[in-house]
Amino acid sequence: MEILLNSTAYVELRRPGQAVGDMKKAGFRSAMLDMSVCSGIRDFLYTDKARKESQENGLLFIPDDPSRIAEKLAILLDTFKKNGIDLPVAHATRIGFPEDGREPDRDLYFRVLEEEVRFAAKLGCRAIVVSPFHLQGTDEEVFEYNRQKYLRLAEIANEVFEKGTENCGSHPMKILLENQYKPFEGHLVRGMLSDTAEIIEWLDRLNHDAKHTDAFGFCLNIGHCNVCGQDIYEFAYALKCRIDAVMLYDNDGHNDDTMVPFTSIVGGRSATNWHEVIKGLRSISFDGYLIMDIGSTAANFPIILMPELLSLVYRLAEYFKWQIQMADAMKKYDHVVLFGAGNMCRNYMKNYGEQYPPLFTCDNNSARWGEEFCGLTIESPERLKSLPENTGIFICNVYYREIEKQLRDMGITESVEYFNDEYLQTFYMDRLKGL
Amino acid sequence: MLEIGVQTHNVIMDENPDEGFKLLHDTGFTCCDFSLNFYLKNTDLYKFELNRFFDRSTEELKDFFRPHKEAAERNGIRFHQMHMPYPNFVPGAPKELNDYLVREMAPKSMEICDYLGCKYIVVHGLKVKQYYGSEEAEWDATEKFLDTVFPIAKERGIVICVENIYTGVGRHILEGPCCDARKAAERIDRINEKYGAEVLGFCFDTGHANLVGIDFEKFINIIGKRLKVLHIHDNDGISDLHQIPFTFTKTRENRPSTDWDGFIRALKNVGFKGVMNFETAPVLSSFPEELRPEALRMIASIGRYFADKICASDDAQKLQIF
Repeated sequence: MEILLNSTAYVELRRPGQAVGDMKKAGFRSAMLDMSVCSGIRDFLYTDKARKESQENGLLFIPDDPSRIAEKLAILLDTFKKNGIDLPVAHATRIGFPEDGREPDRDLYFRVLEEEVRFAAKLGCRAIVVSPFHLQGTDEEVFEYNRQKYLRLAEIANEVFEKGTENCGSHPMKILLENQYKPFEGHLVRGMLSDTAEIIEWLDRLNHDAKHTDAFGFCLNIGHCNVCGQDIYEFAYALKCRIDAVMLYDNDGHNDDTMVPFTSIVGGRSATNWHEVIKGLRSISFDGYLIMDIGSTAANFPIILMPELLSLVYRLAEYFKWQIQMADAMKKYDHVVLFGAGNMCRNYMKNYGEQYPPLFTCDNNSARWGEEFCGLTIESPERLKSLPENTGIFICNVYYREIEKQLRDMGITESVEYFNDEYLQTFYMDRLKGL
Repeated sequence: MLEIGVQTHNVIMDENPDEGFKLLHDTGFTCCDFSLNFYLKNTDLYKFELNRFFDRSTEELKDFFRPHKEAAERNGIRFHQMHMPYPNFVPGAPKELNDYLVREMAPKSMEICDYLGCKYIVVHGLKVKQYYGSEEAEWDATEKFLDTVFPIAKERGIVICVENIYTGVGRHILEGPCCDARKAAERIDRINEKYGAEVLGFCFDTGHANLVGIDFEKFINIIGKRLKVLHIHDNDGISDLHQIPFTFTKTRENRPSTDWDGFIRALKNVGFKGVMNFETAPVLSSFPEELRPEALRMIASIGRYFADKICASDDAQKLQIF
């Protein structure tokens, strides 16, 4: 799984040094290149006005000459390169739904879009997210319109690949479709590709019609699912390996703000069901691009504290990766033992006990030593000093750091892992008390 | 012309059902959605509290509801649909309570439904996904429950209707059981085939669908003829308010933020011939008592508006536009 940051909201096009440096210090080694830094929806809705504004600010107006994208992005790309930050994924400019119902200049948009795809492919991006194109019509008419556009973009990616530039990988850049919402009189409701059956049909038909068999994939946008109240576990589970990328951010469930995960709290609880998100991605062994998109938070955060924010976001991305790949920690070892004989141990046994059966569990409460718990014998922690080779010790107790210190003090520093039961597949309906 | 119905909660009182049914008749309704669920409230069940209403024998329950039945007949109101108490499984509750819901509440609800001459009974799916892991496993539990009442449904000619409901984290409402139209359609067909009778149908709840951004038109078109009953009500897209349609707007243009046009188009498209039934009991507590009849009249008028649009021929609609 590769962790990326969508840096659009706070990286200045002409002076990106500080922000990209902050990203690097925070731990990011990859970023998503959001092409909206080059041109935005206004360029296609109010073209004359947008052109004038660009000229006044001394910026290139890309719709007038889309082939100059490289020129517009030169400083930014050079800064990423100097800082060792890769750009494996790009996101094409979105036109979405204009609030006042005004129709964008679609021909102009497609000219820019084609150049964006060509540019991203030449740059060496392995995937580009291209949102579907909205229009009125029957399902089949909408698909047919999109089919033509998407196939043209795949053709461009393939042309670049066949020319074999130095950045090209082993296959053409993949075009990723993305789930959408649509505004309905101020209320965001399910939009195009919000239905998994429709997504599967589109992807299968597009891949069938494309020159290259794996030309199209999918980017699961968690925030879009959330504003439509969708069950993210079921969404991910239905799409399985078709998901190449996940756009991860929080919002309040009603407005599509891009916020740091776990920060949008409504009624004392997180407005995104992170349990379903983690469970869903774990259930499909997601191993693609995990794109952290925190634009709304970043745009409103004190600039002085940005390094700390980015460090937190990187740490959160690592946490998601760890949660999604939790079973990988168990796979590493020939044997497993647990530390803790309470609800977390019970949940381990319910979810992983059969696949990764522990030798025993241990607990600091000497009164319980020798007791059988969930099919395990509770031992003294001293037993951990004489374990078979390649045995992982999984702490099943929320006092992780205290127990880790205890183990360190006992001279056990290797093979200590955290287990966590907050986002497991199944739960007991009761909690054991008084343990 | 489609008939118009409304939920009985807050209108029909046990002490004097005549008064309530007369009010429904006088305000323009011919059908009712009997709120049996209020005899065993969900709020109590979630607190593991059981009021023992269903301890009564079937005969005693019939005696209890005889005045309601007679009053409805006297006032020209037909029991078109009713709501079974819910939840029918309470996670973490004592076994005795959950057993009671299956052994007493559910079959007796079916008996009451039959006694009142009611064709449809709406049932909530179990909300146990958190514990069982997936929607599929959750549905299996619902189906296991429904299997206990399907034989009664078949015998009495009752159609049990599952409804799109929601779940949530904090105050953010998310889709819950029966929010996937394709799965619902497949399950309804499979079960009806298994029982060799139409024992299962669908209840589309507009308010619940609106809360989780469901595309009304697309959903209803997939459900098609399996759609048997409606719970029509409106909300702000945030909370389950059960208010009068057309009352919520979210923009300066003040157009309704619920897709009523899509709702009408879809019902017309699937050839819906059922009752325009409103689940709007909270309206009666939010309006002052003096204005309640007017509020009910307004609801009935909206029902007639929907019915007119749904039943109008395409040509007639075009004429109206031009």
